Amino acid sequence: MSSIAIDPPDHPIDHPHGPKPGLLRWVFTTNHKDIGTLYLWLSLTMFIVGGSMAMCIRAELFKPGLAFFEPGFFNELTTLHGLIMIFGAVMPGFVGLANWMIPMMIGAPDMALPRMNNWSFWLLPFAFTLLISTLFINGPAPDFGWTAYAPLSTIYGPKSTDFFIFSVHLMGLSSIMGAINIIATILNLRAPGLTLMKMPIFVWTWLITAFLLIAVMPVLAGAVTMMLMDRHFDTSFFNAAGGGDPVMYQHIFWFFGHPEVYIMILPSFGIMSEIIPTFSRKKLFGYTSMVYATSSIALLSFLVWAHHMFTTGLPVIGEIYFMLATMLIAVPTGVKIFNWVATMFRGALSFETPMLFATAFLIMFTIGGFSGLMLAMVPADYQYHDTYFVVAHFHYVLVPGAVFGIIAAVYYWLPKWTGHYYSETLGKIHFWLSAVSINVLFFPMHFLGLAGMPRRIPDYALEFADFNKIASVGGFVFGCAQILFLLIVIRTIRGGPKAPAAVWEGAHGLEWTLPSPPPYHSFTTPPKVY
Amino acid sequence: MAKSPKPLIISLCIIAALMFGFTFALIPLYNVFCSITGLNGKIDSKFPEQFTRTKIHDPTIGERRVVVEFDTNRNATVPCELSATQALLQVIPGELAHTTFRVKNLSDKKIVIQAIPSISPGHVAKHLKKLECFCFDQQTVEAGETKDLPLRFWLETEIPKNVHRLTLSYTLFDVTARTKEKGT
Amino acid sequence: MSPAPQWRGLLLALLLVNNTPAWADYVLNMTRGVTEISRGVHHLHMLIFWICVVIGAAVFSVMFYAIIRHRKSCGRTAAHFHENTVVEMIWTVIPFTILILMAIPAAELLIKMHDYTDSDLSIKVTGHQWYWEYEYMGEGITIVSRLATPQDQIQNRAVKGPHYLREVDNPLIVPEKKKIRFLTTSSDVIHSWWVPALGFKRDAIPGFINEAWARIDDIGTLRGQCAELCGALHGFMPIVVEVKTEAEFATWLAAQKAALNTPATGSTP
Repeated sequence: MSSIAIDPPDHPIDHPHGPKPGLLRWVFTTNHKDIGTLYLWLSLTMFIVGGSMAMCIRAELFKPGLAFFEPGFFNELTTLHGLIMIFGAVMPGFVGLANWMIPMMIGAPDMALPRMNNWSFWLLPFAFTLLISTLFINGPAPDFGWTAYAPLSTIYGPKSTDFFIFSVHLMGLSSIMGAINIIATILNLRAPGLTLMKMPIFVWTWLITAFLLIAVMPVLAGAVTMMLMDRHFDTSFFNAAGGGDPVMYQHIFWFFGHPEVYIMILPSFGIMSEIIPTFSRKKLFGYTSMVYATSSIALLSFLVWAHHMFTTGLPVIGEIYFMLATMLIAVPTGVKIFNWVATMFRGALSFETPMLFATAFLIMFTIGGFSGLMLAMVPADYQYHDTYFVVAHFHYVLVPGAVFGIIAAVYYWLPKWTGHYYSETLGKIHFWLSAVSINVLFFPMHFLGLAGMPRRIPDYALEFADFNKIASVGGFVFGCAQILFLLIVIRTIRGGPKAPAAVWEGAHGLEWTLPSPPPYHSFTTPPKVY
Repeated sequence: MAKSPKPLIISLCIIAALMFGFTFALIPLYNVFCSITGLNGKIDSKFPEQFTRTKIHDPTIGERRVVVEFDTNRNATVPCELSATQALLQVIPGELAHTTFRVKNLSDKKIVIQAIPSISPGHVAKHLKKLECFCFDQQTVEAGETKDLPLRFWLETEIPKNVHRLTLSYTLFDVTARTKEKGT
Repeated sequence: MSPAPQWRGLLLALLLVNNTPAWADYVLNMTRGVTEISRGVHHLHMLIFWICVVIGAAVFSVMFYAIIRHRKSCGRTAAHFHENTVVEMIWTVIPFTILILMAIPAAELLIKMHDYTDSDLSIKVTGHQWYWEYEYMGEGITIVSRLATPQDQIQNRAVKGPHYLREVDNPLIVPEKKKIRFLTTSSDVIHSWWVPALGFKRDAIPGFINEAWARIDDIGTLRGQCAELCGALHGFMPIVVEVKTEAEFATWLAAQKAALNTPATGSTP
């Protein structure tokens, strides 16, 4: 118990607290690192599955005319792409990082509820098997978009909608349990002396994210439960015939959906607040304002949901309120961007792969933020809504925002996890391929949307042909570049230059006091923090 | 070392459960919200006769007329035709107005229909009060039958001065299957 | 299919790099539209766009200055500041002020867009899976408007016409310079009626009616399409609006009514 033995996870030794041998280790594990690894592999697998669907979508949209798929199947692809990327790639990716890093960052031996941790992971493979199986059963897979608006998903939904509902329930359950675990860990297992206002920002953002998850995942569960009841138990929550209202679904969905957007970006903010100071060799600018800005973004996210529904015919006064509230979110978000830039300013910058991804995050997330600001203006939103402008907007915040956040975090902590440095050359090639192609992919979508191309269509008018072609080319390059990422990760796990405990010159924090790779149980005796 | 996480976990679970319940509580909350703001033009309250009598014949009527336009729609699956016998009415605010709608069953089966009202612009919906409306109840229409359905309503004198025209729309839904399953 | 459009795409990608002005054919920006409101929307869009450009330019130039000048490889050592209340206050208050100022013209325009009074004509737009139906309210005239693009073009068996997927059998006919109310509803799932040149889109929701209006400046043809996912053929329900002069419209309407009444005489009381 007292020894801080270095047990590399891939060399199980006969030790009462070491990993079980064989494959069963992964089934029964209650270790935060093992579960973190499982989450991250699930995330990468789902990223590749969802990405392949995106490649199919871009192939179909390469030129006008139906080339590969029926319009109905195209809708199934866009629906599953959205669901898999959000619930399968981004969220488990962040939970995986939380599992790996939070105990190490706060000086804890493990998560607070290790057995529940195991369960919350193992629900997910079943949830996604269930969801993806709809592609292979009789009848269409869910084809109503990831937003699943009633009545398209209720009265008009295919039989597989019930699979969708059940798998969303499982994902929700998993997320809620994961969030409870994270809150319990952060609030109960911090090392002596590590007060809340001394915690790393990554831990802070995850604490706030976990509260968001507990608050809104039950709302999504409620929404899909109502959908299930409307479909099978003769209720009329969303059916006008029985006194219900289809718009009600949208209100409930976006009451979940908008905080969900921040669930997918706040941990990324935390990662950036770790990486940027490290490679600027300078303390994070405005720690306190970062914490307050993150909290206010989280609180405001509950008050702006209807900005997704401006065209449904809300009363004018309601639209003005939601416009103002939405624009207000730009203020704390702006504060964060300014803080990061101020952190870089007059630092001693170096651009290893994690920092490159962080810089790309800063630039592209800001662009996505600007288009978000434009979307908040109700009269202009009447034009932007449900066009490729919106597609460009949320891909700019989610891919360079959330996905680049996860990728940057993996490069940043991979030497810590495996004990090996990744190949900086390959990492840089991966970065430049991704950063250039992602702009070729998503930037033209702004023009497409402004020119009048609606989203979720398999075929389009001729005036949209050129930009779609450019976007598709960018998409294929971006897709291929991620295969390189997979190879880099595998290569680093198998070997590479040995990494010391403090992997990066400018990094501070408890996780860098542990050897690389860290022992199976992170801090068996709590470190003292002054 | 660490304190027991149990109370914390229990309270977090309670929050999650409450939020799940809150989702269902949103439905009645939303309906209240709608009837206050007239969101979606979703006003459909019946008023007791004596209450309405006190409101009718308000002395401040004047010469004002509001055009009430009637509109009918049918949901995709309804084998029924609904039409307003008068396309529009010139209504004096405060005075009772009545008109009829005609429903015709185009199928050879008895069907049960439900009409759902909607008013545009939404913010005037709360000023349109119905005394009698075929939309209050489900209507049974025999095969091939044509039926006149009554509507009696008045506009409150408080209706905003800049409103000169409003649309009262009904959408017909077929609820035969629902009523059968309930055994009525 | 001719290879020309494919090469055009590649060429365009090259042009992007070379920045040669050959953009005439490509739509880059929101349409100015054909109504006073749509021009207002365009103006608002450009205003917020330029504000974003200015803020972006400021933030990015500071950032790139740091990226270029404050490198470790240039022999820099890091400064030690990590807090400055005054600066933090400034960059909270300035964006806040800009946003409040932006909200004023937006709210004004929004209120104008929602002023449905004194309309000259009401048209009910009903969305169906997957076509549009237009009813001239009080006139008894109904138009069913479906996609006119032949399947051969969609399945790549024939050369695509200039208005591929944006052509219908029966367009909506409206008069210029009249305030037209559009009441939208649906008979099945949610659709959204969108003609970009009119400056709005409005959801068509089953069981409910929604309202919008337009006063079109000039005669011409406007094209749009359904903007809310409504099932398999969501991408195949375009909208075409023919704007005619008032006199032409009156003649057309009279002809429609006459055509409606002729075969119907005797059959209905």
